Amino acid sequence: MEYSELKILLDKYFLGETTPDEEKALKKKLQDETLPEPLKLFRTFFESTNISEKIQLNDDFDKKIVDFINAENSIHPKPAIRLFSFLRAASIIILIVTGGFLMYNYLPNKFNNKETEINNLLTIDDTYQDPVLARQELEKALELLSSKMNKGNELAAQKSSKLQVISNVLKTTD
Amino acid sequence: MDYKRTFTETILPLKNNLMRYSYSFLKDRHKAEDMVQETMIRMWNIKEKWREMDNLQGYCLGIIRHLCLDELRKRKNHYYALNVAHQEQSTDNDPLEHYSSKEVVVAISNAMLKLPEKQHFCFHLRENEGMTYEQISEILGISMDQVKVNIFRARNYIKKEILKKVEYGVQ
Repeated sequence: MEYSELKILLDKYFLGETTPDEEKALKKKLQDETLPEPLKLFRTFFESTNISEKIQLNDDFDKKIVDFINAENSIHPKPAIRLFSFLRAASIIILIVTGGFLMYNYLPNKFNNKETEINNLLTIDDTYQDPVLARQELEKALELLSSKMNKGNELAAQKSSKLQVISNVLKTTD
Repeated sequence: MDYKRTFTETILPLKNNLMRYSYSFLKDRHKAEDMVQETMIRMWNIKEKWREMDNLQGYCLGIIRHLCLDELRKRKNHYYALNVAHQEQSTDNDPLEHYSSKEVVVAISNAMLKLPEKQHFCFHLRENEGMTYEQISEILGISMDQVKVNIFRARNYIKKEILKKVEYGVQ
């Protein structure tokens, strides 16, 4: 065999200039048992990089895949699952937003309590525009208060007078 | 679009091509078949996007490549490469020669795994499917010049890796 021809073909192959037919011929020539040692390396190259045409899948594979497709077609599980999960996510978001809004606006906020108390004290509305009328109303209110207080004093005086009687009795018996 | 028809007429016939591509990575028929099956199922699950894809075959190759690389990561590449070497049949009686041949096979396997995606696709389609540059350019959606450059680089990278292992080369 003319090995120089083989070497030229190899050079052409590694330059990417061979046709598919030339590559087939090259692989065939490299199978020669009398090949010089350096060229045997390229036999290993082709044997290792080429995958046998016998590596194939049979009709059972097709059946398995087609069965999968048919089953998937009849059930349509994916869109239903997607719709359900979308609704679930949407309802959770609505709940969180509504809950947050209600809490912020309607529930007492512990962080703002002190501030609101001070504000209430500072913003008491005047009910009387006329100072004289206001004084009269204040006097009435204080009189009512003092009358209630006096009741207590009278009761205390009555009780203490009773105690005085008892103490007098005790003194006389001594 | 009749998805089922498109699938059975366009995607399912790619099974042997994908099987050989997967086998070139994994060197295990059963695992390679699993990868093809997973690729088919994934393609079916994205059927609504088929219209947007320029080339279904190129897309399938992309899916199976990633599946195979994930599988190899699980296996740990180093031990895998050694196992490949043990599977190789040698007719040589000389133990040293036998060992050298194994070393070369391991070097080739490792070099193949290191090829960039496009180079690996081009190399595979040319070497194992016997496709012309034009057919490859259509499948991968790249120009013929790019196909040629990718094949040139892939072949020479593997050659360089082999020659690193062997002290002598072809003059």
